Amino acid sequence: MAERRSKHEIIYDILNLISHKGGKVKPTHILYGGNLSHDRLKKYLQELIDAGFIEKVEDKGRVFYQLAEKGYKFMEEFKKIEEMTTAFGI
Amino acid sequence: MAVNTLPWLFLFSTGTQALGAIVCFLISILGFKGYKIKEDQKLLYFFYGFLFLGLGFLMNVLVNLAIQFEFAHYLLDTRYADISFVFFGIYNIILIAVLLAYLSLAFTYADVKNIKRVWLLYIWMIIMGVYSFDKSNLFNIFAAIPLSFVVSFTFEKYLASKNKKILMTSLSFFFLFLFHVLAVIENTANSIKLLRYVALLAGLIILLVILLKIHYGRKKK
Repeated sequence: MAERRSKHEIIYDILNLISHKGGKVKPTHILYGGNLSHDRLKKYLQELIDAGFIEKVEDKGRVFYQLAEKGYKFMEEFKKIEEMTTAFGI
Repeated sequence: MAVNTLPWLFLFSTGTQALGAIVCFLISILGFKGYKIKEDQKLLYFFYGFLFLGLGFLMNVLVNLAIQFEFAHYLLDTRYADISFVFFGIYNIILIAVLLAYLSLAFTYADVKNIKRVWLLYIWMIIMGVYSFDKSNLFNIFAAIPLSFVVSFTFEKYLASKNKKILMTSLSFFFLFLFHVLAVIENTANSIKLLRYVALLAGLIILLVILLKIHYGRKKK
């Protein structure tokens, strides 16, 4: 069985998904790739907007989620921590 | 038979321990950030481990500087009993914490899932820490015991993964282990004392290289 992801790991996965799609995606893309239920995803997206990690933007009447500067910074920090746990064998 | 420490060796050992404090604090900050992000208990033990290790080095540096600049009388004179009581009280607590930190690191690397099941070892370590406060040799042997496990576990992890960074981590812990083991015979010759601090410096440089790789390694892309 796969290990349960922590809240911050889920956040990283969502941000990473947006980053891989060029930094701006439709909510359905996150839903398919995020491996989360619709309700949980909605909760996480609101939390990410409140924290300033992503921004909700509208383009030609369609809703998109766009990665913000703070989101990129969080991703960098997360990658550093991943490298630390690997380097120290934790 | 104890020999007098040469002045430059005294400076070298103080400088190395100052570097030790800086490196350990930097690693502990990274460990704390890691704990906040990943919510993994192991990273919390890792943070405490390096935090107390850093504090231990810092206290040693302060004692060395007090001796070097002739402030030692504040710590030894009965007229300043209150100052020395507080100082040595904090020093003793930090040294006990260093032993507990090594034990926590050993548990972290041993993948002990439930720390509560091994609480008795923490009690024993506290007793050993109190008993060994004024017995440097004994303190260093007690410190070397959990560290030997850390060295062995990290080396096992390297063999399983063949990751060079884990080998570097294992090596740094080995040098730290050597630093404690050599303390037992350091007073017999200045060369042993020098070797002891060279071992510590080597361990710290390796840790620093790992830290720099973590911080700047990615930005080359």
